[in-house]
Amino acid sequence: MTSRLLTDDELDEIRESIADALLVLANVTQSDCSSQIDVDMHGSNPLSGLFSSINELVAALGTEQEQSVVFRRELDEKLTTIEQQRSAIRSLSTPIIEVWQGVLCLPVVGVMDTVRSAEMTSALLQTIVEKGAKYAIIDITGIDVMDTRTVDHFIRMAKAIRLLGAECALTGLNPHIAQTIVHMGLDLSDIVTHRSLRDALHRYVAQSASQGDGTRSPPT
Amino acid sequence: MMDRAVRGYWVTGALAFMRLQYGAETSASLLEALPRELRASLSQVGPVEWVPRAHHVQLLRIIASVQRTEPGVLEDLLSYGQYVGSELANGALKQFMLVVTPKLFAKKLPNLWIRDHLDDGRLEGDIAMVDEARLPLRFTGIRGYDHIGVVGLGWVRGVMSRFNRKGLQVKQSGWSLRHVAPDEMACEVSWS
Repeated sequence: MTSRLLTDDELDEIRESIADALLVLANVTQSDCSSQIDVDMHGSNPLSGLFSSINELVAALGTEQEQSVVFRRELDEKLTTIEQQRSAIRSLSTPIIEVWQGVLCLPVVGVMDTVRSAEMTSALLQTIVEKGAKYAIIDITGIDVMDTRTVDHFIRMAKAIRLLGAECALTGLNPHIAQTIVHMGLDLSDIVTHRSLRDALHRYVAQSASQGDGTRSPPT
Repeated sequence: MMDRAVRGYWVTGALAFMRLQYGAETSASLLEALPRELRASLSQVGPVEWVPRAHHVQLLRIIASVQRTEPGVLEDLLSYGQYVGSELANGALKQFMLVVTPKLFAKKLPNLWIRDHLDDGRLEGDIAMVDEARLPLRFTGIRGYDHIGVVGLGWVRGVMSRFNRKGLQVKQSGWSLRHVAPDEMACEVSWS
């Protein structure tokens, strides 16, 4: 194989084709994979093979980028759906019902954690103020297991409610939870408890009536 | 892709230039001339994203509104173009600038114009004069694109500053405050 020096024209041609390639790569570095290097496969440019490979890589990168955009969009949509569902679950998990005039009931189902407890407390306090309620009944018939942290959440909730001048009662403790509380030595003396929602409701509605709230007593 | 569009870096460059040239407070108050949604969308633009030409024109008009005299306006528009060109030459086109000579750069001007403006106007350089330390330029088909010729001239000056030629000077004919968007413009960049 013989070698010879390149002429100035040939050097200029190579320089220009490198410049063209760098221009395309400049676009690629800015996430624009739409352009390609002009390649003359029948010409004598020794860089044609290299440029063809670069073009293939740029095209592949462009395809990956498009897929990435689609995935990102799908991910964004899923995240939006999850957030909407989370919001719906949040509102469903804190259904505060005004069961009688001045008497609110909050049935709790599922697991209590710090975030849920804070949201629940906040919603309950706000409703107490809005409705001018005097009694709040937290019914935990739907809770199977209770640990120290959960009890602590309810104690804090009751204290906050008392600060607003309302009374708070915990109802629906099942025998298993009652045993656990005793075994663990948890102190629930700060919270009024009733066996059932019905018992608490009966007491508070009667109290309301005796205080002249204009409400009728519940049927016994 | 839209018909008349410009690469996003011209828009982000205009916003950055205004902050540098006029200060953040003045720049913000100048930009209040634009609708709020447009202001918000312009700040989110990516460098190679296509932006409608009309949005770029709005920014050019704002830059052209700051100075009271024609030489002052001309200098601001040239400075804006130079800022954008210089940022490009030291950024995305850094490797490209290491390879090209002034002559090759002049030859590539039509491609570089298309890269940024599609077929919205045309820019050509007279390669034959580069050896005499002059680069005559010709903008054509730019009617209705306010100030773009002057800004384009500043852009060429900004990119060419990468060649470290001393005494880079520019001159133009065709643009004035009475004719901000001529169909054609003849300009020249020269150096010593």
